[in-house]
Amino acid sequence: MKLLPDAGPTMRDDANPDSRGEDDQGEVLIRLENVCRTYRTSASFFRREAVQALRSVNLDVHKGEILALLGQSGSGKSTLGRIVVRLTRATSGKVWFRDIDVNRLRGRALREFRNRAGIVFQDPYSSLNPLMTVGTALAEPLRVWNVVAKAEVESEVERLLTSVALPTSYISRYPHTLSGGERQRVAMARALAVRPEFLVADEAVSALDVASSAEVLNLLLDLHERLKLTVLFATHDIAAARVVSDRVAVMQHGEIVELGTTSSVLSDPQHEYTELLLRSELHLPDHDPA
Amino acid sequence: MDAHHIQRQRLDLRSVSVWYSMTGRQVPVVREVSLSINPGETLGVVGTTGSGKSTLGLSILRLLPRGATVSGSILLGEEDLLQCSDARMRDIRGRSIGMIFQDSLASLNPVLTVRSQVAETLRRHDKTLSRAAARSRAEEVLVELGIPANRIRSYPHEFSGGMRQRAMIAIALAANPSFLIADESTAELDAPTQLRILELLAEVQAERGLGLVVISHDLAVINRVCERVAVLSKGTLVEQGPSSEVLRNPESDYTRGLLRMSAKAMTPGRRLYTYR
Repeated sequence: MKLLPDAGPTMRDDANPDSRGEDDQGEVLIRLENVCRTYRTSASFFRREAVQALRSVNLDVHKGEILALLGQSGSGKSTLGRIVVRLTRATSGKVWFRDIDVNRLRGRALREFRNRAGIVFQDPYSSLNPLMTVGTALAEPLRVWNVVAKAEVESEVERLLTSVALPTSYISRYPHTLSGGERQRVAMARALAVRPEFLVADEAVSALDVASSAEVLNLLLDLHERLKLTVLFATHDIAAARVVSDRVAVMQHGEIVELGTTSSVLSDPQHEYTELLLRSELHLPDHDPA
Repeated sequence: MDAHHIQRQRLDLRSVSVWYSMTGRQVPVVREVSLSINPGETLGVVGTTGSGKSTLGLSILRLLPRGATVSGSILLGEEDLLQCSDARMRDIRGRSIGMIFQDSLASLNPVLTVRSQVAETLRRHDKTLSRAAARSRAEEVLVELGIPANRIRSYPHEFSGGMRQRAMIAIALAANPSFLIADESTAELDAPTQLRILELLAEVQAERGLGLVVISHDLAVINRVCERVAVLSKGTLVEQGPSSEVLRNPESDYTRGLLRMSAKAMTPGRRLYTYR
């Protein structure tokens, strides 16, 4: 196990070296270089406090991988996901999507970037417009982005529903009649409608119970397989990260403290915070598979 | 007041059913569930969303929304809680049975310090307590539950999630109830905090000899804290027994399904089992 000379995250022998073009693990789709994100809040009328949500983060995301950002609330994982899809900007540092500096996009170029990334959020109950049927919600991005010809929108909506394992009859349903898991699947279908190259799932199963969570995790694995989708999966749940991700970046206080393949990081942690997370995991008794 | 004296009564739910009134129809949410718990025992109630587990918990303290109908009996000792007066229920809540919830920010009064909220509960159940005595006792309870003495005059929004849970537990236990119902109370907490709160609940339960009912969809939580577990599916009790048995060798397909769906039971990269 080698530590980088500038005391960066605990890098493992199996993680890619942080140098352009020398990766043997596939094309780098997204690269973060020294990304910082500071929020200024007013703690009181007279004092402004700076909250460092991200502190000089360096990360490569490879095309076609599912990378988990594992950390508790306040670790910076959600901020990182939002920066990568340009829902917010880094205060400093560079965010590369291929050869595009995402952080500096404006105007038309920024609008064009919007359909290359999708994002699904934690709360299935607030992410869908309650006044829109599922069909309308899915048709909207198709129309805005001219993904398909007008005449094909309806069949494309049906195809999207099928791709997230929902019946086409759901076109006329309103969100409040759907379960949390079903809503998340609609949210995924909507994110995928524009055929993005990557998807950020920000705590996408955290608000779901075990049954819905299993459905959505399965769906993520299916989509990843079929569409070769690159996924950034932000979660506090070790078990979910273990099930879906190829690599995991453990985050604490705005920094990546450990990075490597999921199997090695979670079975042989090097950083004390990773060890704490693993120790805190609750388990099931060994059960007799029927 | 002896700090840890509690009444030794059994809580016995007999054939409890709950219906919600929705758009003119009566929708059954809990169907003839019978289970019981004694002080000193720990019981988990597990099921997916919509299984009726929270509704069951709320029905014990008669906290269901208007429009809900309950049948059956909920006996605390000899007394049927479904038959007693509103005034009597107000005494029962907190003095005999306490309850804590998932959303601590929504459950706590935002304009009172946590010390005031514990003191308020104490004075509600013991009219002879002076304000000063209540404040001092409140401080004891909060510190016992891990809130530092210099934080007891903070407001709920000034605490982290884990600390708010501790405050909620302090309020629920202030008047020394014999039972505590925890409804998904660790669901919003991160793993290390969740573990600490569960350990706290286990500690407090053992020290005080409480009857603890933990309602959760997370089998691992139940496994950690509860000696017995009752499994609900669509309002029906499908299985109950010692956790070590039910979670290892379930009798019902439904329980088996719940176990297999848990990400904790899974092989990385493989599909999770989903139950239809």
